[in-house]
Amino acid sequence: MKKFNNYAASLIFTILTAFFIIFTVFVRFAGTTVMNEKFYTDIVKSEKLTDSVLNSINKFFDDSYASSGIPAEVYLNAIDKDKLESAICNKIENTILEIKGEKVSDKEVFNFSEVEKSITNYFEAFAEENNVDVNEKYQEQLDKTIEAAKTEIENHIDIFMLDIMDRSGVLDKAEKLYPFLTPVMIAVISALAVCIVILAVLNRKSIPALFYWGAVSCLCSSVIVAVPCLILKFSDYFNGLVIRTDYIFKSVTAVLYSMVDALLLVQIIIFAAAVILFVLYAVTGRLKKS
Amino acid sequence: MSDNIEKSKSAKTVVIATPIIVLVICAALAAIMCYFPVRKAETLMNIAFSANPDHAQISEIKYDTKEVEAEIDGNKIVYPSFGAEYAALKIDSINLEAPVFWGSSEELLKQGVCQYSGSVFIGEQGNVVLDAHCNTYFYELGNVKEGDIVTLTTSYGEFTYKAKEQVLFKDTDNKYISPTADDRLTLYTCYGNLLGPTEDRLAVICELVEKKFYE
Repeated sequence: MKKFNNYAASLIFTILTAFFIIFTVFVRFAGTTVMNEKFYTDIVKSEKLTDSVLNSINKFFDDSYASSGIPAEVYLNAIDKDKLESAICNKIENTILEIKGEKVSDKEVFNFSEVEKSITNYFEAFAEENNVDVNEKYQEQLDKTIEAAKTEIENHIDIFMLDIMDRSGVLDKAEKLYPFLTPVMIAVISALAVCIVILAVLNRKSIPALFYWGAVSCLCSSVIVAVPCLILKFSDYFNGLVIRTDYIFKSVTAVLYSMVDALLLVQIIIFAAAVILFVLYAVTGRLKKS
Repeated sequence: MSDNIEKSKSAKTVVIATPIIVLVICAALAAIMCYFPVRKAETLMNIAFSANPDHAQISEIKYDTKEVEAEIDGNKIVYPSFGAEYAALKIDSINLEAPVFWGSSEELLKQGVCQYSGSVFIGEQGNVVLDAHCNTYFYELGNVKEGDIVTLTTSYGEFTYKAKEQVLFKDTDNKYISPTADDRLTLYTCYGNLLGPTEDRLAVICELVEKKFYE
């Protein structure tokens, strides 16, 4: 009876330990990956998302040539690829720092002076060639064109639709929840430590049993997270997302798959820990028998 | 001795079965705990991204050229699908001959004149509204004078209009592209002598002169 009670109690605390391992993994993941601006900026560089953005900008201004009469080159020749990449990364960094409540740089995300100069020069050349009066209407049209170009380029820089998330209140919610991340992490790790201690007390007379229950917790927690991750990865689930804009589709799916890969890596480590603990259980069990 | 062997066998069974029991219990609990949050996340993803893999990518939707036949006042008429080339526009006074597509998009506007899908089909009573870019097919629209003949030819008939007036309006003013009781054709395009986007529109309003349905 005593053995059964011990077994039942160990079973219950093993289940709790498995869940607290999962919670610890997710809370840590939220802190070190989801809220880490470097995670996103590394994806921008590794997936060459700037090239997709430039192609999209080119296509937009190419398509609008029929209605505006301004060739796409007027805009494209004024956009430097490295500065565009920098602007994309700055936008992401600023947003995440704002959520964390940290100070954000006052510097403009993208410097439009070259684009303004290019459009102005084109307008001036057009006016000279076609004897157009440089009057108030001309200036109004020029200002409108520059403003439209700025808006379009800024929209393209926002590859993760952060402005839309901001307007819909998602970032506000994230900002409110972020301060709780550290206390929740401490609570979850403490709960995990308590469960491990209780398991140790329950199995104080048998070290192999402690290794065994530890291995079972690690095995179950890793399988429960790894299986859905593997399904998402190998069924190409995120490729089924229908996002109209090509570069946003690439950016969002790249981030989602990277997150899945990061979680899978942690589960592999936990699974390896489970295997090691099972081996230790087997070895210490044999030693105890002998 | 046999008791020890029995005990050993049952101990091994417990050792092997326990991880499976724990895994099943944990998976069941995880499924219960995650059911509603996952359903909510899926709904949000579907709203944001249409995550159902059965949906075609918007950029890959092929224009359906299947047309639907109908009858109006005993005359056969064909309702085209979005993107179908279903008429030809001719204005002799400005040497214009252009294909007319049902529906309007950037891709279609590159290929010809587009019909505003909020207007009536050619041959039906009301306002037929066509638009094209001022830098392409409707470049000379401003030169269409009162009395100039405009014809629309479809697979089911030929429709002749006469230009009545030219109007300038803002892009936010829907008066000239709204439904009307009388039969008319409205041709419109962007208007502006300078570069860049413009809020001004130029329209040529034409009154119906003849409807000739093919037998």
